Amino acid sequence: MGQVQHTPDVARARDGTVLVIEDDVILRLDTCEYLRSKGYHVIEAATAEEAMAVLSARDPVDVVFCDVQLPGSIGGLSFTVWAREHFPSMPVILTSGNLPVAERVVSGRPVPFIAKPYDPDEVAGQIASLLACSGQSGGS
Amino acid sequence: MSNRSKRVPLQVNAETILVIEPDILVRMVVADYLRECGYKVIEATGAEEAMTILNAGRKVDAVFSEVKLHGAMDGFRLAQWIRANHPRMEVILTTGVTATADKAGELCDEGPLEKPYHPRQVVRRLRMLFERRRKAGR
Repeated sequence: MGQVQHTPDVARARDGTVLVIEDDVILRLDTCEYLRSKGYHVIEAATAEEAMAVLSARDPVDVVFCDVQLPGSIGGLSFTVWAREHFPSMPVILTSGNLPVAERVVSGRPVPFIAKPYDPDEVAGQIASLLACSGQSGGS
Repeated sequence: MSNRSKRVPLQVNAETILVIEPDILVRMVVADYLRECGYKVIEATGAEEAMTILNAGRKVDAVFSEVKLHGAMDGFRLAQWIRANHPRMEVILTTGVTATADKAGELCDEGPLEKPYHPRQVVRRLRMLFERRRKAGR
């Protein structure tokens, strides 16, 4: 695919960087645009593999918002296990249209969860709450 | 502290650019750079996602696409589909392969943008295309 010339550090917005993992391109687009309008720097990934490539190439992001059902060999739950192992302080929010409450636990710890279909404002609110807990300001 | 403030956009652009690039580390950098230059950016991993966006009626002024894409449709075929279905849309192809770059020249007015490129080259190309469009009254 070739390379693009760039400095490797991806800019972090003042209000925090959110990694969104969603394979539905229209939902991803609309969610990410809404989060950008709230002041977040947003990285878009279509699969867990893409997200892992990003996280392996840079510092952890502030929050991950991840669909449970993803194409490829790694789903959202497996990604969360990987993320908690490699970036223990990086919060992950999961989303799904049909994930039983009993399965919203990864590595013995509950995972913040937003049911689909969701209002993007709910996502922004959840992110702001998590960032507030970790001492960051959150979006506008 | 963010280094974004160092990249002051020269102008605020209202155009929307659809960036199609399967390598997320490339796509992320190009998309961020274009946003910092004032463009609205839609990201797609391949031709199928791009067509979903365009078929949904999302406003797109220009497409910047890698030639080598995963799936059944490569950048050439996507460019042909766009020419047929969205004739007013500007298309810029990019590739790191010289042989395909020659072929891409037939689908881009200014020829393909060869990799490796700096994102500012993309911005220059976009500004040139939009300026030409404005002068032509399109």
